[in-house]
Amino acid sequence: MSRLSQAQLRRLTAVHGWSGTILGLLLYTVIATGTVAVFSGEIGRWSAGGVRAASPLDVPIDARIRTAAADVDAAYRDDIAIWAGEGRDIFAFFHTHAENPKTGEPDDLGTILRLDAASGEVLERNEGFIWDQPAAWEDSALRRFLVDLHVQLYLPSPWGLIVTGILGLAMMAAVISGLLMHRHLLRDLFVAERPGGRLVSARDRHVLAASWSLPFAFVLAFTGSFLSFASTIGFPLLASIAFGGDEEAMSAALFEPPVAEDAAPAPLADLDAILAESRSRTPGPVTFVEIARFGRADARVHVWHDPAAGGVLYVTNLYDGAAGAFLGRQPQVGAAPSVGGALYGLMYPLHFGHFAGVVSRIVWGALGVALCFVTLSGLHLWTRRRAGAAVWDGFARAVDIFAWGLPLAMLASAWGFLLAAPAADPFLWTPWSFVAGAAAVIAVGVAAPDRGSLEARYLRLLGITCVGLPVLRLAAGGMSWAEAILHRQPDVLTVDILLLLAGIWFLRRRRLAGRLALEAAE
Amino acid sequence: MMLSVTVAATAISAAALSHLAVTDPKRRRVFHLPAPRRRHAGAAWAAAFAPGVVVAEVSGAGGLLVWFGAISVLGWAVARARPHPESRLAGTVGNSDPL
Repeated sequence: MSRLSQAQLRRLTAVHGWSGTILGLLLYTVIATGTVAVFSGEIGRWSAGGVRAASPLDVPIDARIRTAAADVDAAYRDDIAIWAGEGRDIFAFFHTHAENPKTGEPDDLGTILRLDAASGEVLERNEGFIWDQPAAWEDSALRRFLVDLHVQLYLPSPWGLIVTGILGLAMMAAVISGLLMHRHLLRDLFVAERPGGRLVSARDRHVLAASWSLPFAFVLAFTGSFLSFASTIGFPLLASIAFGGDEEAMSAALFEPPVAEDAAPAPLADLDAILAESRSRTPGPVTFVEIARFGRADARVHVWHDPAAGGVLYVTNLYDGAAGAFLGRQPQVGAAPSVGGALYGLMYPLHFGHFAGVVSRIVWGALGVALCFVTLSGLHLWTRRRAGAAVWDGFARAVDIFAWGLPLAMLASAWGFLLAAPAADPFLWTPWSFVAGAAAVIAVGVAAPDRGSLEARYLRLLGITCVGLPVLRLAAGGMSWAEAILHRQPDVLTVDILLLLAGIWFLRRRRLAGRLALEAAE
Repeated sequence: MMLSVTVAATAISAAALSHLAVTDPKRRRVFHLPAPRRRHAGAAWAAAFAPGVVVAEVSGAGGLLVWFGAISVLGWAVARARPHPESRLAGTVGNSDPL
């Protein structure tokens, strides 16, 4: 395909291989956790276990918000963010903007209430700089941990985002260099791995998976890198250059249409009527509502919708808060629709893959599995070429331990979450369970006599941890299968069944691997 | 309606990719199989990609992305399957890596 000289090809292979080798394990971590994070909604509902007949934002909420607003500091009515929890609860975050003494950065300060959307009962109330307190706004510590691990490798901000942004760039570089290196991409598109476990077999495996996942590897790397760098470098740089360092002014210019200030008191129009009107013109479900300047004549209501069937972009409708009148569709960026704004809007759905509900999430999850395969097969190919050298044999073993260990450690975090949820702080014990699981997996890998025995050991562990999770969830007081069927909660049942099936499959595969190894030994 | 169109289009594309895989000359050469009598590669490629046009028309950009993602994964799965089960068994023995 490409017309590179032998010397150029050698250099490109070195760049592709060394960058992949140095960053490959971190890249695998980000991709594998991202594959799991695609199903964060399902994981949240499975682990949080709330019963919901309909989205809490689909029931009348106007009275709930007005009652709550009367009960919070007037300064916090500057901005109200409303979103649904995993049961029939809604979160209403009344806040203003202030400098967070912990970070020295502007942040949201206020009161967050978790309300029962049906009864209006206040289930939980928290005050302060809320984003520092995940338990105040997140139903599931397990989901929070897995998403954080994907987004910033659980490193402190902004370093985690910078690292994942660099990994996205490295992945893009690997995609482009791989495309240039592979001269016969189309001719090799259907060549399966040659038998015999030879070096060429390892190459076939890597090339085949990489070729088929090439376009999406680039898209996911680009969007991931963009999302990581946007908040850490892009927006701060823009604020510094164009807004004299004033991030609030930049945010207002980019995401809030200009409003003539009018602090005169004026009651908010009927919020339920605004939501109904928004639904009538935009078919996608309402996911988020923001009320700016509650109780003032210049109040504005933003209503966010998921993409409608066939769409990709999120839609935001803008309303006059006092009159309840529709003011127009809010562009993704700026005051008027633009190509740049549309491209910016595409970054989120293309990366998260939830624009078409569970169908697109399943496809994005499968693409994530393919990309994990590409990363690991690349590492395997690299170490296979250097087999015999002690350092590379050790690295090959480390790759195996890492490959099996990461899913096992993620499952361990789920075990920790379920064990801690009834009596302890799951936000503390979920990450620690991951660490403990990772340590145990490394110990098993190091203690194994050879690489050949790793697979059977890890398959058994995977099987047991998968099968045990639904049992543990039920033992910890989670929703029973009968309740799930009665209340039509498909996520709980689906995740449980998938875990059981995966566990059984791992155990059967372990038995098969053991039998084949025995036959080979005989 | 939109989902069923996307699923049907994905199935047609996957069938076309399966035909391309089964009749692929290099794949057959690598696995010591006789060359196919007729391949109709152009028609098969057209059958693989033409459903995307229908999906884009009926299911919009969202459906098109789902279809393209699905055929990327299915294409890999189809191409990855080896022609002979015995060779698959041979490749598994003594192979300790998790792939």
